[in-house]
Amino acid sequence: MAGSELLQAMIDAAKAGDADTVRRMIDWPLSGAAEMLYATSVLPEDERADAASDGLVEIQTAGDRPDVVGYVLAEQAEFLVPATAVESAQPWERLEALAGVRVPPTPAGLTPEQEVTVDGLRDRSVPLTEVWIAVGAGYRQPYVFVPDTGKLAILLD
Amino acid sequence: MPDEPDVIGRALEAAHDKDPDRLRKLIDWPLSGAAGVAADLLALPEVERAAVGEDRIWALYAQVHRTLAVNRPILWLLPVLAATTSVSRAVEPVRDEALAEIRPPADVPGVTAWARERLAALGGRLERLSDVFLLTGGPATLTVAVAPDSDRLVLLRPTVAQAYELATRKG
Repeated sequence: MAGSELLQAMIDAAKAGDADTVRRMIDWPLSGAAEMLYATSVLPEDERADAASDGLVEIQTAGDRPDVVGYVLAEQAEFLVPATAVESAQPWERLEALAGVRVPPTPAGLTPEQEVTVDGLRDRSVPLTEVWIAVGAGYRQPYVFVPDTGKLAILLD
Repeated sequence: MPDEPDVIGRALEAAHDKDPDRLRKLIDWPLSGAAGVAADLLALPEVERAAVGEDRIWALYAQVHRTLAVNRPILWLLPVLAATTSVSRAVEPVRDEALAEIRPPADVPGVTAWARERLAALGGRLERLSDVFLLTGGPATLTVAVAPDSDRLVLLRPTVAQAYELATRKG
């Protein structure tokens, strides 16, 4: 399914109240990796591995845990349910959305295994190019198409 | 403040409501920070610029997504905006000087083609800024412009880097 069709399908599912379908259409690891790493990077270096351990498990398993992501889906419903159109992103919107999911340089203090996992997420985030916008009254919410999973990354801010 | 652009009013409201998340989404971080990133890159030996230039530019675009814990300029801006009592248009020469300071140089030798394109695009968007506003009454005067394409605030004085330093100094 093309990225624009995927976002329209996500909007349709949200309008139908089908949160499980919306949850399955989201690429949770890529949606959460950047924010998790930024949050980790502001911790003292000797605390980062523990924090990243929890964070990496959380983003990798989030998609299978409706109890954990329920509040995120509720936030997304605020954009998806009232959306009236899907549009391609303006150039600045596109860069801003891609930057939101692009995995930043790995902070010092992570274990070698964690670094491998983060590198894998970064390798998936760097080639992303396609951004679609859910347009509603007074807002434009971006979604990043992830070709390798056929899902959309959301911005968790 | 009848003459102020709507986005300035929304930023003041967000500050009054002590809402850093609303405020950070009203700031055009790439336009506000482009000159600072270019200056930082120019301060490096030319052979080192390609390695860090793209990450620095991506970080500019990512700043809007960074919540308060990692967005120190917002920490400084919030109380300053909350205490603002007056908005006025800047006149010459302040207006032109402030706009000139925020433009990145035409070329940063040594960066990748992608980074060069992005800095040029940001420079092009900055060229289209026109009206400059002074926000006064708080502990510092803010000088801002409004980006017509993103409808967000561009921080001119203090710059993003200066706001970061002020927040860090404040602790």
